[in-house]
Amino acid sequence: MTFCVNTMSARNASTMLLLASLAFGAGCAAKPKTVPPINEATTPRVSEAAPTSRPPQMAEAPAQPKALAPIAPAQDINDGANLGLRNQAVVAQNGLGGAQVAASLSEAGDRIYFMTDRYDLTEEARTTLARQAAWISANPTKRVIVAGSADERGTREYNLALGSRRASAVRDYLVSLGVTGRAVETVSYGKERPVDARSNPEGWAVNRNAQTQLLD
Amino acid sequence: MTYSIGTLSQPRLRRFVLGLIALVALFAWSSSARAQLVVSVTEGHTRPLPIAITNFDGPNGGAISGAVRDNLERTGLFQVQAPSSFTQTDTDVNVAPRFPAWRDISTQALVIGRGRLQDGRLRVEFRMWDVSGESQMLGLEFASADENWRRIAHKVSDAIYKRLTGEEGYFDSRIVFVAESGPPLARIKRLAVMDQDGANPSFLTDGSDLILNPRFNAQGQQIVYSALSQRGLKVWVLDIETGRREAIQGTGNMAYAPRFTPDGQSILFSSDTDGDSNIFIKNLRTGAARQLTDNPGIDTSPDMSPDGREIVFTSDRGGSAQIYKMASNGSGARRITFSSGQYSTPVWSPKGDLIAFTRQSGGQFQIGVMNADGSGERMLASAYLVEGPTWSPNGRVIMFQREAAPGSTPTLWSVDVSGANLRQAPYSAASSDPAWSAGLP
Repeated sequence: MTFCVNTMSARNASTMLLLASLAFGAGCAAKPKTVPPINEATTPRVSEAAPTSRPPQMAEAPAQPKALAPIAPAQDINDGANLGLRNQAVVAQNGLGGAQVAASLSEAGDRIYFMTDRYDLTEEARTTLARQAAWISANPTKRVIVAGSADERGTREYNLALGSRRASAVRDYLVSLGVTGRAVETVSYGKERPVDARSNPEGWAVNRNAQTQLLD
Repeated sequence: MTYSIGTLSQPRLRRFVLGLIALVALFAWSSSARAQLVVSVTEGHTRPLPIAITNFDGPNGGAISGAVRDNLERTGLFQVQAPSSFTQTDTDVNVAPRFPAWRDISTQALVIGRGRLQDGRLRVEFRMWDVSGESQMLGLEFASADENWRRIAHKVSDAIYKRLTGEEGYFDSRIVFVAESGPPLARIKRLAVMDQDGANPSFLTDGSDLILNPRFNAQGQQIVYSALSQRGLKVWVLDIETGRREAIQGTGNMAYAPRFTPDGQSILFSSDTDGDSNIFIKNLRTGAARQLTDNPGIDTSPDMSPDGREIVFTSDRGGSAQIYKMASNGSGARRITFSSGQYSTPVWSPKGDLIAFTRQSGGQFQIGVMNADGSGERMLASAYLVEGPTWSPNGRVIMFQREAAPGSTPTLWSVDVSGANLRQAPYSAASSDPAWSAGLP
């Protein structure tokens, strides 16, 4: 793209300056244009610290239409050679000792929830992740990806970072339960893939989550 | 695409003009007495200047005039007179207007123009008149291929704006943004560009990935953006002319928050290692990458100052999201925002004197500006969600994404840096993450 400028003649330029200078103190007759007011009053104030330890049940209910792992013969959790002592302890503590490994990630509970702007794991989240860890360990050929998400009450780039922290917190915990690090990828969805369309504290609580998904 | 610009000769005005030249010296002394026909862009509540723009004669003349009127109207600095109010309808670009007819409708500036096709090119000439002073303020001609008539209209608008405000215009510029569609839980986000006035929108990606935070380089030829797929978040550099794309590799499977450095040679971005986001810089030619921050907090949204010396960014290393500054080599990071609320998305003004940002406080989001040292912060807009400010090329207007209320569709809005003239951008479909180009050459 070229763009050529023919410079003004000196006389022309100075003339224009002059004519501008000649102007007119005449005040403007028009009234100032009114600017639309900032719309503060109509938007509800929301507490950023809304307690959300237990998101609505509906978030966990929808069945995931993803390919399920073939249902293996029932395994005693204590037979899982790749489950470390620590994992057994956690599982026992959570009252699952001797129980069957979940038939699928969905059944184990594939999504856990976070407090506003936090990425530490609640007790409830740890319980769910213990079930996930058992399933992953019992299905050593499977790999998973943990997607961390944030609610819409943050800027896009910050929320990507926050979702990444959440996904990594889940991964770290799964690994601490004996899951091979190689089996778990992480990704952040930031606020880009909400699972609850409500723009209110209940919806935000559901959208502050980390979901563990099966990789192909 | 070729443009040319020239000044108009003044065949019938010469006598009048020559008669005034003697006054040059006089006015050179009396600068304090200067009472010019000018518009202040710095004050928030100046009265708009009444300006009349006749329908230009010649091909696309009415459309060119319409585009100029719309440009000037949106600045909030002008009261653009309705053509139906004009009492002189036989204007000619080479004939002085009948000034009393224009004073009658209380206009202060008058623009008369004409386009003609010559050797396959559209040449548009125009003059701007000071109605009270009965004198010419501007006489210019632009030429380009016929199909570029909108760009000619933007060049004309830029010239009028500059003559009356003393500031560079910003009308011949483009916006890169994210065009949104689909339901809230299955959003489609495509990379898109349009002219600054919303004309010529076009999509640059197919919608399979979610496109986030696109930005132009200073030369306007490349766009950097991040794309979210099921498996990761990648930064891409897209050359607009060639369509060639190149991925910027981060440390893990997440690279995001990209921006060009002012020289266009490198990309600043965030990348993630085990949940820890840090800031990196990568040279596009050599491929050399360097990590600029290294601490357990979130470090993201980097933006380099126009002089290349400093980087401003978002970090929560102090416990909540705030804005920090560091030298461009990553040293000497220090916090510059200290008020209540969370701060993010800092962006330098084109002149480097101000930083625009997003603030979250009391359940609302705000767009604000502050001095480059963090002092003197002012909030310009507030809503359920406002986010991601971007500066017009002349630093007078800030565009951002806005959602008026919970569940509202995101749209693009702008506000003057003075705080006046909050308005929705001309492109009204669902859209987010606007980034303004520099002025086009």
